[in-house]
Amino acid sequence: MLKRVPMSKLKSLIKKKAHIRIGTAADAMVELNVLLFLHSLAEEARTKAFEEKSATIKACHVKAVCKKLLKQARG
Amino acid sequence: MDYVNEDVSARILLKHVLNTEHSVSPETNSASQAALHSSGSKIRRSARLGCKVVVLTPQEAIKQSMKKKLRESTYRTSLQMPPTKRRTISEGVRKMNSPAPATTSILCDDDITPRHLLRGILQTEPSTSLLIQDRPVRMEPEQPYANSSLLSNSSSTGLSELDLPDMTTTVNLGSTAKGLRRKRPRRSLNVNAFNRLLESGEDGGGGGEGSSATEDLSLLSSASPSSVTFSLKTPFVDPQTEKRAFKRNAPNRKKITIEEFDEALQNQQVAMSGDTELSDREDQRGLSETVQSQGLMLGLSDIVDPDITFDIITNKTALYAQPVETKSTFTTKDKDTIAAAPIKPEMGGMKDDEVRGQKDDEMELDDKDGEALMTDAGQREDSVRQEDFKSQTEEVAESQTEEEGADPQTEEEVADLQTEEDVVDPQTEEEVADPQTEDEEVADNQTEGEEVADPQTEEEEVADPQTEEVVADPQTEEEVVADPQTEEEEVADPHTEEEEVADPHTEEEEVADPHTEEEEVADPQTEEVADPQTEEEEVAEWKLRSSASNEVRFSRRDYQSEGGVRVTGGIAEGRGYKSLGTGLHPSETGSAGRRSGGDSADDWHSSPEVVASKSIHPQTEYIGSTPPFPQEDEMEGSIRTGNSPSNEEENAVPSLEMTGEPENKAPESSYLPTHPITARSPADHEEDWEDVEEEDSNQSEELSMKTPAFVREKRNALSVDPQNTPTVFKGLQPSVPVGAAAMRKPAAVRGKTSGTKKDLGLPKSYVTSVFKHFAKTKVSSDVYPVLKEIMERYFDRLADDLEVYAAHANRKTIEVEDVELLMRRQGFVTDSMPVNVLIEKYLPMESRKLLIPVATSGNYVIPKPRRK
Repeated sequence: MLKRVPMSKLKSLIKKKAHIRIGTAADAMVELNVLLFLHSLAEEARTKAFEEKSATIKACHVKAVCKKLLKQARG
Repeated sequence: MDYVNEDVSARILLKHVLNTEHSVSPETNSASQAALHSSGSKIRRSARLGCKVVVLTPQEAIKQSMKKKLRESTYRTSLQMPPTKRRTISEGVRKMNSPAPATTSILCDDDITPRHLLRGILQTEPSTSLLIQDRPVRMEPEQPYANSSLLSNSSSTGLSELDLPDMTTTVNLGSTAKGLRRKRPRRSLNVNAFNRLLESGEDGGGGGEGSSATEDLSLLSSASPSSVTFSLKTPFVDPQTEKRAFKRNAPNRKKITIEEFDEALQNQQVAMSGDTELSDREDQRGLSETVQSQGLMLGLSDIVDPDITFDIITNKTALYAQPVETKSTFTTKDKDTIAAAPIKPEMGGMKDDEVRGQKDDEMELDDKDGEALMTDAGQREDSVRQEDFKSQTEEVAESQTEEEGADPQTEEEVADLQTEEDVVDPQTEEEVADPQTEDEEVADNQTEGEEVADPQTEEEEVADPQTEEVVADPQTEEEVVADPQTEEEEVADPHTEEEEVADPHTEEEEVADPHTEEEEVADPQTEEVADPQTEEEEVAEWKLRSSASNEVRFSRRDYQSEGGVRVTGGIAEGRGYKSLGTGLHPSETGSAGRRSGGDSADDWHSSPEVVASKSIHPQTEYIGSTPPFPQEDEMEGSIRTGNSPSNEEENAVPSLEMTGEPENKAPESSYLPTHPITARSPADHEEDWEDVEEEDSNQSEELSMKTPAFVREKRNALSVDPQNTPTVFKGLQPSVPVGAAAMRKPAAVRGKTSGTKKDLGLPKSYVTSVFKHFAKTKVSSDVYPVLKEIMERYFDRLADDLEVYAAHANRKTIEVEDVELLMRRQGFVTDSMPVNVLIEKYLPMESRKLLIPVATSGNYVIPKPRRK
């Protein structure tokens, strides 16, 4: 998107947590997933901020939203 | 027709009957009873009547006719009622109907002669009469007519006639009954009346009662209106009981229960609140208690909640109190030193008096130092230090008796033990030796120590006074210098074991102290050189300690630095100690030690390591002497030096400190060395560690492990989630200063942190930029910590899920399809939103290429399509 996250970082992160190997293409998919998640997170946060009549997304908005979203994105 | 006449009422009929017939027919009674019992269906009655008609045709006929007439009358009356009253009428009619048939049945069932029937009717009539009282009156006159008519009819006609008229009469009766029904609404009242009647008991005649009873009974069930009604099965008591139940029991119960419940609730609440408050007040109880109290207090006022939360908070704070404690310890040290100072002088005075008058000042200082040290140590490990102190005091006492020099030593030791683990006894001894010539210095030291203690930051002050005290104690001469030194030394010397533990603590203190001390101390004394040195050392030690608090190695350093400081103070221990030691030997123990420390400091400048190493040896003598302090006469530098080697480990630390000291000594370098010393100290420490015996390092590690455990955790947490919740921030604060020290830490140390830092994950810039892009609106900066944490959690879950999917597919590698499945489950990918679309939508080209085969020229597809 705007910035590219180093694939290596992603991969290392997954590797660190998963303890199993990860394929090449899967990295890109994971990135996609992350993007999607962030996207939804941002949308929700934006909505919440609007509810609060604030043009700026604040941390409290995000926090309030995150729990619900994390639960939803559980898979 | 009379039958049709509304006026025809059962009453009238009955009257007619009564008038006409006087006989009583049992059969009719049974028949009537049966009829009565029955719901009063006309059909039945008619049938029965029909059967009985054979026997008592005339009577039954009459009865039937009367019933019919009753009904009709009631019905008619009801009909006559204005339409507005229809409802009531209808109700009443219904009610009337029941009573009508009841009445009719009564009429039939009357065992008694029609006369009784009539009576009953008459009795009931008025009660069951229409709402309008006139009705019964009308009914009555009607009845006779009806009766007469019926009678006449019946007599004239046969059954068939009667049947017909019966029907009509029944209709009439029904109407009348309906009319009577109007009374239904009254029935409620009547019921009450009935109850009263019932309660009042049956009377023989039960005229009124009978009527009322009949009415009620008719309502409830078929019952003879006459007194027989009482005999009816209808439970008389039922309504009463019912009423009672309704009226008394239920409401009473409810009321009571509610009230009681409320009261009970309140009582409980009060009780619980009291209990919980108590528990809350304790605060010290674990969260579990608070939770329990919470559970109890659920219904309690909110007042309790804050307590709980407070408790929770306090409990939580307890978790973090430890790191704060380090700081607080510093602060407290100051207080302690201040507090200890007055105490110490007493102690010192005691000892001094016992041992030497000259060294009163020293003693005082020593006491102060010791106190300070003690306070510091106490904070760190009160038990240990106290114990040590005690032992030291004992030792001190012993030493005192032994020699004057021993006294300061013991004091030093005591202080050392108290403050930081092992104070270098030999050092202290050396310092003790010095004090003789340095009474003034002692005074200066005292002042310096005080000054140093005061102005310095909490940490430093704490360390300083400790060191100062330590120094002061051992040597009146070297009080000034020795104090900080001794403190340091003490810290380093007394116990290898303690050192390890106290090291991290003392190191911090010392490191902090030396810094400030350096500056301040540098001024006052002729032996400022020594003092600043000691101070520097102390500072260095403090710094080291502070830094070490986070790091295991720090503990080591402190360990070493402490020893170094002490060495410098009393004996040149460690690297710098060498010169100190040498200096000590020639000069008086105390002063020599200090000076040597200073000299050694200079040497240290040049080659701190080497010097330290060298100094260690002579210092070791001292050091070695310090441990056996109470036992040995460590006045002699040789002894100390002899001890020093044994205390190499300890000295290593103090040596580093010492480097600071000597530097401190040199006014020129007094300021400079602080930093480089501190900077070096870690390095030195490292080296020292190398030099230091493994045991010490191990021990120090172990010890350091203990204390900074939480700090390390915090550090890790910091590195992991630097932007986490405020709770983490708490940890941040203490870690911040430590972090600074950590900077100087060896790479190895950093390696640990770096390893843990990896948890952070995605680069912040990336995450934030993406978020901003998606948000389309301004995003505040404080969002990112939260974002990071969220991402981290998300990643964890992501990895777990992917792992599971892969394992489910009996694969060991996470593949694209795993991620695809995950996305599908997450709802990102649906039937209407295939993956590829998403890929196209979001991913940059590079990633996309990986995922979607792209055909390029030459029939070359990228990526190579997998073949399954």
